[in-house]
Amino acid sequence: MTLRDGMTPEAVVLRYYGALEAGDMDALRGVMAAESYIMTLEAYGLKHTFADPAFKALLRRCGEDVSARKEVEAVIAAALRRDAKAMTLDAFRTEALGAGRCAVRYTENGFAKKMALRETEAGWKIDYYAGRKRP
Amino acid sequence: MKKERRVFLERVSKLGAALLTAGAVSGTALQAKNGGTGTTELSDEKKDKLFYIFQEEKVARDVYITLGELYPEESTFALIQLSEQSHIDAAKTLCDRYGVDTSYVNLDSVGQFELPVLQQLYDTCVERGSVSKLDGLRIGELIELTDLDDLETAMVDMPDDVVKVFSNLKEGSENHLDAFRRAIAREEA
Repeated sequence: MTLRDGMTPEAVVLRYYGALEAGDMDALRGVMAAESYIMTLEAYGLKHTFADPAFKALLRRCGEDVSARKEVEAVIAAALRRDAKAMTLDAFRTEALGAGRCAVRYTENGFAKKMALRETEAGWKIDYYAGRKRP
Repeated sequence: MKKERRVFLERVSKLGAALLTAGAVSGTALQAKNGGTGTTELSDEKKDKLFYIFQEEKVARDVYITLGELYPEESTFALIQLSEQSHIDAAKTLCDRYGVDTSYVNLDSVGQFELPVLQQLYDTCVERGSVSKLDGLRIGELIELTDLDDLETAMVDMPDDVVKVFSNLKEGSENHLDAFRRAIAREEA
């Protein structure tokens, strides 16, 4: 399986991790379906909501409001760069889940992980809703 | 840790019996009521969302199990963790009815998630909840508020039987929210 821009699903997953490690939100957004990207912002933004009600309000709006999304991205990117974790990714294996979707299975620091991807006009994108096996 | 978990589960099984019978819909009850058959075809998109919700339900259960072990004197976690298992069961029953295969999802390893985004959510909730019991209870409040929002969104354009299950889950989440708020008020007093 390859992307129209030449990236395999495994390469997309590697780019996802590289983007997280570098706090590169543009790169992260580029390899994800729009809704999954917002869900990722929500997951990584959660810890910042505990001490900052203003950030919490921004996070709630970031799906619809580009300026809110950019503010959220800036906070998360800074935190990702500051807290960069060393990840050991290994044992990549791609599994077809039906037409236009697949799962990349791998280990992250020894733990089994799975990323679902959907094929789009722009190539393979990480899509949390694409993890269901279709007959 | 395994021994502690067994003791914890033993304790919650006693405390939680009443909640389970009066609380959210169990998978078995749901199947019996509907004869175990689906009457409506779900679109692929809705099946995808149903499958994701099924996996997401584990986050709340596992956070409550972990925080319950950390604060064994706080029965709210224990009671609600049992009810969260019934949420997972209800979501699984819906998946089964609509032909969504869940057999390859591992629900057994507490605190381990194959989907990195769910792992991130779990880790953040546990990290914050581990600061103090009050923080743990506030995490519970936050999870239930988020669940209510998510269920409200997930109901849109779903068939009646799915809406019915999600409505019951919402009612359960509202009860959990009340329980966490009562416990928070007690801690703050």
